[in-house]
Amino acid sequence: MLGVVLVLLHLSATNADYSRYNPGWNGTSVLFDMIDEADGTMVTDPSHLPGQGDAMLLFVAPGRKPPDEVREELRDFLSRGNCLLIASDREEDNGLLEGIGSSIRIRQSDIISVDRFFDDPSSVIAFPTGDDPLSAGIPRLVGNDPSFLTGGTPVFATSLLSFRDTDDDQRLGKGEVLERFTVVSRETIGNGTLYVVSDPSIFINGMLVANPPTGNREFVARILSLRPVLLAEQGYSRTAEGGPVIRVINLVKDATSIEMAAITLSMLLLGLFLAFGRRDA
Amino acid sequence: MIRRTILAAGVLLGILCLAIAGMHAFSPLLYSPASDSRAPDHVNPLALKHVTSGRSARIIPLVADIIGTPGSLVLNIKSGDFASASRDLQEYRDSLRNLDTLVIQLDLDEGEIAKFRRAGRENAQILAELLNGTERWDDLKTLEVRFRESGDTAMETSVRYEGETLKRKIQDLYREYLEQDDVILSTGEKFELDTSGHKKSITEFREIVNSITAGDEEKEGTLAGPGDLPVSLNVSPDRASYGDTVRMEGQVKAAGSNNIGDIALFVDSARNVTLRTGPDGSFSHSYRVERDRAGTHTVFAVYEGSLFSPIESFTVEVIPSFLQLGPPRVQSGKVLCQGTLFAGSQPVTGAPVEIRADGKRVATAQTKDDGTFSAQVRLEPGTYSVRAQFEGEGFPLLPSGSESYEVLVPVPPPAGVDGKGFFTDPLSLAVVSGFLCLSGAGAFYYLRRRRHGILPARTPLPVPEMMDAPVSVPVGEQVFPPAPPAETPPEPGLPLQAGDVRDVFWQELFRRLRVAVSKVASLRYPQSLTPREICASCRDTRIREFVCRFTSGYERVMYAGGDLPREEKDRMMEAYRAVLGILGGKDH
Repeated sequence: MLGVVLVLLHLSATNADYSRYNPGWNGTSVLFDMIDEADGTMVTDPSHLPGQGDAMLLFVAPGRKPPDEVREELRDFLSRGNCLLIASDREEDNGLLEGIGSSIRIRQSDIISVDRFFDDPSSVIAFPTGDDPLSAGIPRLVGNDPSFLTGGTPVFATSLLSFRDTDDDQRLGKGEVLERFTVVSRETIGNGTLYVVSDPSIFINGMLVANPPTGNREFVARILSLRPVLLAEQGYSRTAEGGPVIRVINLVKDATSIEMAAITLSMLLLGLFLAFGRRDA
Repeated sequence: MIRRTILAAGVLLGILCLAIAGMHAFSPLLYSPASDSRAPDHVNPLALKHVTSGRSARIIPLVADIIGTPGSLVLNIKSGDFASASRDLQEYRDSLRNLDTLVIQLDLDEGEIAKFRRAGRENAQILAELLNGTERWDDLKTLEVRFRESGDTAMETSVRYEGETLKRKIQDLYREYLEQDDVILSTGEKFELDTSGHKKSITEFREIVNSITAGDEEKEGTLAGPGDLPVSLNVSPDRASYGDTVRMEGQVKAAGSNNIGDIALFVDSARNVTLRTGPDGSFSHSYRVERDRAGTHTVFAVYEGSLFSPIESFTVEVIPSFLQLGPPRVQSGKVLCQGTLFAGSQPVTGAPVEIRADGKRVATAQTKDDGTFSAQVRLEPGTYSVRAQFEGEGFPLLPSGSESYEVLVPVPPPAGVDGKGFFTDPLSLAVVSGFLCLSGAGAFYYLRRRRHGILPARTPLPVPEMMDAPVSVPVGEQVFPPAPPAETPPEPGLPLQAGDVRDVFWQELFRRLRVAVSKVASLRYPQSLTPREICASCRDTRIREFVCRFTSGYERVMYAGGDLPREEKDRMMEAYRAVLGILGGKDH
C-alpha cells in the first residue's frame, strides 16, 4: 500500500521547467501554493475572464503561441481596467505583446551585472525605479538569467554596472558597454495596466525559497495582493505543463467528489487486502 | 512456503541495497544541488553561494573619490602646502588600489571601468611627479639666488639646467594630464558624479605651469645658445619606443687645454652615466629605453662638473605589447602557465605578468631577458578560465591580455587508487592489523568462554527422572505437555555456580508451562513471552491463579538472585501440577 502511495506521489510530480506540478527548484509549485492561499482562480479559457476591472491575471512563461482570439480577449480584459502581468524572457512572445497593443518588447540577451545576489553572472539584481505600487517597499528583485525590456515605464532596472555579454565570456570585454537594463516595465492599455517581467525565472521555487531570501517572495506577494481578484492563466502557460498521469491525478485532487470516491475505493481495497492476507496466514 | 519466498526476497533486497550502497561507498553523495545546477532557462540558486549585494555601491564612491581628489591635491601643490598634497596623493593612491582590487574581484578589468582605472593610475603618476617637481622647483629657485649672490657661476648654471629640465617636464606632465581628461570626465558623467574636482585640478595645474614659465622672459638669454657652449651634445633619434636605443654623443671643445676627462650624462636631471672622453674630447653613449615614462625626456652633459652642454630631449612613445600564453598544463593539482611578452620584436624584460583564473589573480610571474615567463599555480579541483594579463604599469607599453583557456583541474583520486594511499601507508596497515588481531582475540575468548561457561546448559537435565518427556521437545509437535516431575526440586543450600541444576530445573518447568499455556491461549510466539506475559495471557481462565503463582515464584528464583524457602517451592510445584491437571482434563 505504501508502495502504491509512493508511486502515485511520484507520478503526480514532474521535472518540467516552470511546471506548477514540479516541486523541484525549477518548478513553480511554491508560486501556485501562494496563489491557492490567496484564493486565486486558474483560467484555462480566456473567454471566461471576468468583466469587472478589479482582477490581476498572472501569465507566467507563455508556452505555445496564443491564437489571435486569445490576444483579443486579453486586450479586452485590459481595456476593462484589469491588470495583466506577463513574465517571459523570449522574443517570440513579442507577438503576444504586440497583439494586446503594447509597445514593450522583450530583448533576449544575456545580461550580466556587477550587482548579483548569488556568485554567478546569471544572478542579476534589479532595483526599483520610479514610483509604482508593484515596487513600493521592495528593495530588490533577483533575476536568474534575465532578458531585458525596451519601451514602457521602467519599474525595476539593473544598476549601471551591467552589460550585455555579447561575446558570451561572462565578463566585461571590449565593446561591451555599461548601462541600465529594464527588467520590469509597465504600460497603460485602455483602462488597464500591463506589467511585463523579462525573467519568468524569478518565480521558480529555487528563487522563492532560497536562503538567504532573495526578496522575490515579497514581490510575488505584492503581485498577488495588487487586485482583489487573482487569476492565473493555465491555458497557454508553461506552468500548466505535465504528463497525462499528472492530469488524471490532479483532476482527482481538484474535484472533491472524485477525490472522495477515490479515497473510498482505496480504503475498500486496503480492507480487502488485509482480510484476505489474514485468512491466507 | 510463502514465508520462505518472502524471506528469500527480503534477503535478495538486502543484498541489492548493500550492493548499491557499496557502489557509492567512496562517493556517498547521491544528490546535491550542484549536480542539478542548470536548466536551459535558469541556474539552480540552491547550488550557488550568496555574495554581498550592492557591489556597485562600493565602486561608485571610489570612482567619485578618484575624480574629486585631484582638485584639492593640485591646489595644495600650487599653494606650496606639500604636506597636505602628500596626504591627498596617498588618499588618491589608496582609492585607486581599492578600485583595482574591486575591479579584479568583479571581473571588470576590461571595458570602461578598466579605462578609467588606467587613466586614474596615469594621473596618480603624473600628480606624484608634479608634486616632486614643484617642490624641487621651489628649492632650485632658492639655490639659484644663493649661488648667484655667492658668485658660484658653475653651480648657478647647474641649477638653471636642472630647472630648465624640470620646467619642460612639468609642461609635459600637464599635456599628459589633459590626455586623461576625456576618460575621467565621461566616466564621471555616466555615473552622474560631481566632476568639478577634476575640472578644478586642470585649472590649477595650468596655473602652476604658467607660473613656472612666467620667468622665462626674465631669464631669456641667461642660458647660452648651443653654439656658445664648450660641450656639444646630439641625441638621436628624437622619438623612441620600448627597446629602442637612443644615441647620445658629443664633444668637449674647450680651447687650449687637454680635453680628456670625465663627462656626466643627465637624463631627466638625474645622473645616468659618467664617461671618459676620448683624446679629441668626444664621447658617446647608447641609452636603451625600458622603464621610461611615455613623454619627453631631457638630456644634458656636464664636463668635469663645470662645463655644460645644451639641453636636448627625446620622446618616448607608447606602443602595444603582445602577451601570449601557451596552453596551461595540469600536473598533480598544479597548473603550469608559460608564455611570452613582446613589444614589437623586442622581448619585454622584468615585467610583471598576472595569471588569472576566472578573472581572479592567482599568481604573478616576472618575464626573463628573453621575454618568457612561467608560473605554477595550485588550484582547487574544478574548471577554470585561465588567462594572463600585463597591465603595462611603469612601462611605455599598452596593457595586453592573452587568450583564455578552459582548464580542468581534476579531483584527486581516492586514497589507494594511485598506489600511494591506504595499502602503502604503514600506519594505516598497522592500525587495521591491530583491529583485526583484537577482533580475533575477542572472538576466541568469547567462544572459549561460551564453551566452558554455558556448556552445562546444553547437558542433559540432571534430574531426568522428574520428567516424563525428553528435555527438548520441539514446539508444535507436542500437543499436551508431559506430566509434571514426580519429585520436588533439589534442596536449596547448594553452592551456586554456572549452570546451576536448580535453575535448569525451574527453566524446564517454565518452558513446559509456557508451551501448555500457549496452546490454550493461541499464543503465536510463546518462546518470546516473559513470565509476566504468560501470566497476563491467562486472564479470565481457570488456570490463571496457578500460572501466575508459578511465574511469580519463577521470577524470584531466576531474577531476584536469592533462594526460596521450601514451602514456596512446594507451592510452585503444586501450581505447576494444578495447571497441567486442569489442561489435561476433558475440556482440553
